[in-house]
Amino acid sequence: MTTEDTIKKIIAEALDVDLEKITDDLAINGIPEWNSIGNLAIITALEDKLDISFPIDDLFELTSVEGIVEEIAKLEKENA
Amino acid sequence: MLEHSPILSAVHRHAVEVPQAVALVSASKERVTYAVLFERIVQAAAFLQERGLRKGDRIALSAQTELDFIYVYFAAHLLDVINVVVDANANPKKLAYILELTKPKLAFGFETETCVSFKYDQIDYGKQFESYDEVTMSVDDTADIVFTTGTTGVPKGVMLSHFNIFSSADNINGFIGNTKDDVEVLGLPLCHSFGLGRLRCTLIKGAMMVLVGSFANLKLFFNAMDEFHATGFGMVPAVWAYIRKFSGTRISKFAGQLKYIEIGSAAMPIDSKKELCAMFPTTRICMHYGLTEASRSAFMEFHENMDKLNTIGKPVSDKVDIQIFDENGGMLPDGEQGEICVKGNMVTKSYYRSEENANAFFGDYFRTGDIGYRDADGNLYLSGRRKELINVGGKKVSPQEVEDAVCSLGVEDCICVGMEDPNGILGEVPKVYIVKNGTKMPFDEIRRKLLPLLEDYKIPAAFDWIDEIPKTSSGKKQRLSLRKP
Repeated sequence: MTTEDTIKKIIAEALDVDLEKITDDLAINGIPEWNSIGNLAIITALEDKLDISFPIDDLFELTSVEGIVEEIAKLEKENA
Repeated sequence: MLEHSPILSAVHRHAVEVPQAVALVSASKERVTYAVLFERIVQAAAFLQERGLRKGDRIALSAQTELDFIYVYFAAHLLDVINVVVDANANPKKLAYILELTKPKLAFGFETETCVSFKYDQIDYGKQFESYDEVTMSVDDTADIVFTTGTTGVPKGVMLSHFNIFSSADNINGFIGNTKDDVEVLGLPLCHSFGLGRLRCTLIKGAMMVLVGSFANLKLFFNAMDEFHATGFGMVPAVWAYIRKFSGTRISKFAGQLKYIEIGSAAMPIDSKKELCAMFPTTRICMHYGLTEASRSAFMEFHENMDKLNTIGKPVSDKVDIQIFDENGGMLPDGEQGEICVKGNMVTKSYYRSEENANAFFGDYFRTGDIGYRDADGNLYLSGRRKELINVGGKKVSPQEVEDAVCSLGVEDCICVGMEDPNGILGEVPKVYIVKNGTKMPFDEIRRKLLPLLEDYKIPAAFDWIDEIPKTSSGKKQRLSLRKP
């Protein structure tokens, strides 16, 4: 099970920002770096590093750090 | 009244004739009628007057979705004050250069030490508007200075008159077929030419624009399309790739309500064009070709050109002429390849620094730097670029600027070229080849050290070693030779 801290670290690296900026309630457009290019970088990094694949219908709903953490927990549970 | 600014004149007419019609809806869903819009513009003008702004002075402003940006932008036009529209997220060096060059008296929406700056919520709308002398104001006065990426990385200021910006909007509306009944959702940023152009198109027609500011959160964008029953939107090709990746075919549920989609700023793959046609069978899908200096010069509609989706179309209106020239300024016949040059009502008369006009025109025709030809039916085709700019999702990157940044880290020499975006979203992304043994720094470290020096879209997506940098006999880097078709 991937920890919340690991997910936040991957998001911070994908956006090239300090880890403390990645709070639970941070959402798309919440910081300038999380624009559409940043969003793409986040999803690509998470899929690569965690070896998961987000279904398109779920991708559409992933708009916050909290949502991403919940989605990954759900996917890992399904794949367990 | 307002003869110098046909756009403001149109807004004023709507404020009188249809005062309760909604002009704008903010990201927080505040609705602004045409009556309120015009009133706010006048109040913002009073604020500028009180700060001592007069005809010919300059203000610098940046924005994503702020309504106040729109009030101040048009307030400046009202007073014949010149807008320098900037992207506050641009790299600080570039921003400082623009501000140093244009010497604005006030800045809005970002902080600077160059002049007094205001946040948009600091504008006092309670000032009394003073009458002023309109007689000295002309439709040919500069309304906006817009900065575009120069080939060397030094931005070039393009002066656009009130007549230019109105004409461009009028040309576009004519081609697309916009009416007062349109409702557009704007995901493009207002501080870029495409988004600002869409705003002007909407307001001269008396239509409605819903500002969402970004496509990043597609859920918000789709909700706005639904809630306001949007009839159109504008996007760059990278946005289409993003929409498809993040929402599949969900957008096709709006096919019945979307009257138009405007696309531009970068090339779009033919497959994407076909896909759009299939998903939006009754929507006018209009793709423009243009540049800051000659906004939306040509247009083509996808459904009408299914057999030649690779054309960039024909001149946008009968007020615009496009010809192909040889390198000596001679006009070429159909079928022959040369430089695409544009004459028309929206074409700039001059760069801000007049020395940049050298070689910019052949007579009245602006030289785009793009190579192309025209077929016997008048359709234009792009076949190459004289300029070596890299087009990252619609944003232009000077390879020299990237090379200079890399070399400033102590790298001996390098060459930057465009490569296909491996994620399939942005079209092109920058790639840097570093001369072998030219540095001991690992690529990761170079990339990290570039972050404070360049905007995010200019950071190289890939690095590689190269034995020798290809150069002409005069020592000029041959970037196009490394570029994959």
